[in-house]
Amino acid sequence: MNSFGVALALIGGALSALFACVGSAIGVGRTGQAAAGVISENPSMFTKVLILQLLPGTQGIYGFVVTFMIFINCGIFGGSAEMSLAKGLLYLTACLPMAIIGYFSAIGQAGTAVSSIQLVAKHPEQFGKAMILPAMVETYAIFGLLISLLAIVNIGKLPV
Amino acid sequence: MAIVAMKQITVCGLKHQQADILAYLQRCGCVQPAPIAPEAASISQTEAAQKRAFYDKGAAETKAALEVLGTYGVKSAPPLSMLAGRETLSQEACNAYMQKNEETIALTARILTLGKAIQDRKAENQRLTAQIAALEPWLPLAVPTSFEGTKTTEALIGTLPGPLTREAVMAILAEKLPHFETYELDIVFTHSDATGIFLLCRKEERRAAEGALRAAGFMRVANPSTHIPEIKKSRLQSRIQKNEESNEADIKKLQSLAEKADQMRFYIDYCTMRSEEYAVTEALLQSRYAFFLTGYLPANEAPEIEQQLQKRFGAAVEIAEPDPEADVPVLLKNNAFTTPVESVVEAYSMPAKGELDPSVVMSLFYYLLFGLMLSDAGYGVLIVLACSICLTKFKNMESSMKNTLKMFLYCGISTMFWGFLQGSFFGDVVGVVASTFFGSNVALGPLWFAPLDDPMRMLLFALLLGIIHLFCGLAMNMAQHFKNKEYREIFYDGIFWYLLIGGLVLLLTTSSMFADVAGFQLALPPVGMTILKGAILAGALGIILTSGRDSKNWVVRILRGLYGLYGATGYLSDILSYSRLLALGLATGVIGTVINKMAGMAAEPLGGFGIIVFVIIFLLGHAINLGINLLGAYVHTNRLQFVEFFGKFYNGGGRKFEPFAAHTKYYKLSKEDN
Repeated sequence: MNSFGVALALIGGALSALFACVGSAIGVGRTGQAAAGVISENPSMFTKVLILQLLPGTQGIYGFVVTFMIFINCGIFGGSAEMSLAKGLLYLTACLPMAIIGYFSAIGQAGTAVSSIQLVAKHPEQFGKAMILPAMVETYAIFGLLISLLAIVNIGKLPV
Repeated sequence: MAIVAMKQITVCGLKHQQADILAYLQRCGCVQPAPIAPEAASISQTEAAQKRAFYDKGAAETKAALEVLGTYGVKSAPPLSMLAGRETLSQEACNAYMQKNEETIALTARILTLGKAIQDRKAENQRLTAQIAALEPWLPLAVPTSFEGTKTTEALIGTLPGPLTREAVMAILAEKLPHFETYELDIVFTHSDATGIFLLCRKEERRAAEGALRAAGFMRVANPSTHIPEIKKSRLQSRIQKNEESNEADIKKLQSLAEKADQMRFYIDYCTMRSEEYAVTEALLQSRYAFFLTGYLPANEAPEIEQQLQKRFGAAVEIAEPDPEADVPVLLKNNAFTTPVESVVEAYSMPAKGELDPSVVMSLFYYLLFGLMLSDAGYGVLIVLACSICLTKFKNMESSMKNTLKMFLYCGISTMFWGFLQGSFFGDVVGVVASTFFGSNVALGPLWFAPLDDPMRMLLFALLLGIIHLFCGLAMNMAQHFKNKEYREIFYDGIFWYLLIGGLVLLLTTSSMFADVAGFQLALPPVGMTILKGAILAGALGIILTSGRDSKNWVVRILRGLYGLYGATGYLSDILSYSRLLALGLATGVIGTVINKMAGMAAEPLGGFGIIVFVIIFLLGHAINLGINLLGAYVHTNRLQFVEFFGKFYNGGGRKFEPFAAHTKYYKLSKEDN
């Protein structure tokens, strides 16, 4: 046993938060610009465009959730820092879906959300539909989160 | 359930009663006039259009005036005013306000003028301030900036780029002029980017001097004034002062008009109503003495309206079944449990002709799925409390607002239900508080199981819920076909899919692969297996044979049937899509736990003082988590309903019933006059 495994696991956790949050930051930044443009014309649209602006922000949260699960599983919050190299590598691999899907889906979702914001600016009553379109993109971020989480939870039980 | 039956109404009345009849219908708010054919347009319609434009303009101007009043001191609406609903006006109060309409129009003009004057003075003051700023460096100068010299001398007042000393300027002059040391040269100011100079030279040498200076970048003062800079500055300042005083006086005037805001609001409503009325008038068939209106109204309102129109106005009214070909507007009516989600159906699309209202089945799943995604009892309690307090406190709330709150109330109850089943109450706050402050290991256990302990079990449950949801969608599809008497389609589009998908799912649960994942395995006797495989085969064959039933050619039909069978992959992705129930539920729980953990870690070393730190982190963190996950649960519940569930049976495309009524903003008019 050695503690090198923990380092690998932590790299995985860091990647997950890093990429997902960077993607969300870029995404929310883009949608925010579009939202501000709409508000400059019609301040009463604030609530609606705010909701649309926040949609690409969830990837960052999912990334954060995965990172936190890594923290718990590799003993950052107290516990043993002993972890085999193989296990650390497994944790690192488990983080990759969230990190990579999170980054790209946040940016992809931002593009859809920007268009939805423009849609709502023209047809405020179509808010329901405008919200569903970006939510389609999010499905894949959710799959990424699910894959990473299921892997992390089950790696703990593996005898490596 | 749930789509209200509509009747067609035709009213024929005398022209002099047209306005009264329309006003009555507007107050009732239950008739949607059908537009007439454009070729029937008559002269009176252009008149109606003009009147409508007049009232539209009135509403827009009064609204602008109200905004001006809002900027200068009419107190804004209290924070929860959107919950309070509109005030109901009796007929007398309405008449009293109507008396004041002329006054309101004059008032509006006055307010707009005052508002514009204030704006203009503000703009002027900005310009004056800029002028003062430009003048500031020239203050030491004792002559006006427009001073040109005396009988024999000429003055050059202006700037040179960059900071220069007197010697440096002299050096510039020395290059071109022989007698430069006799000239009067003053450096008025020296800035990092410019130097202000005053040069007095003999008249005949002015040209040469200016030429030398210009070569070094000299520019005369931009806006020369006939006053000494100091006097000019005080003049500008007094003008600013005067403008400010006038503005203060005008603002006081505006503030004294604040009490008139109510009658202005009424006038906006009045204009809106009249504009709506003329919009209908435009669409009326009119002759010299009579008019003719046709439209739709809910069947249950029909007798009352018919009777009233005949009794009050003696108009000829005919109620009939709508033309089966006509595009009849759709109105939904459901029980108290389902009504709140009607707006969700409406956000997708109203049911088209011959379609079922999906609201009832949807409402049950809507609340269920929403709760499972948020799945925290603490958040559920908060939502339930907030919604029920608002609902009991504000009785007069607008119905759309009421329905939204009710929807979240039911969603909150479901959230509580799932939260307690999964043992999540503000994350794991009970356990964290117990261990941080009391050193015990009491914790709130799940009534069922915690998804983080056994995510695979939760995933399977989520997918099972998805299969049930999708099969309900298929059942709705079959009910739809049954209603439209398309009995064969019940088999083609319903039963075959049940056999295929249901059979495949069951077959999967008997496999050893499933046993590895789920920890249990469905054991069927060999006969059962045979029946199961037979059912799947029957379903698949049925789909291959019937999916392409539109085409006559058998080859094409079978090929299209095979493509139809390929649609089974769509079911796979639909079912997997429900895994978001697990993912979103986990996200809420894990973030809640993180917040508690951070609060606990921060509070532990601080002793008694730590409680305050704990509470602050706890409140802030959970407020953010609740907000984000509320949004997530709302968006993804809608998605599961719209894409997965509606995809199985519902197209929509109906037209919403939008009756001719008073769509006022500030006041509600009582339905009964007197």
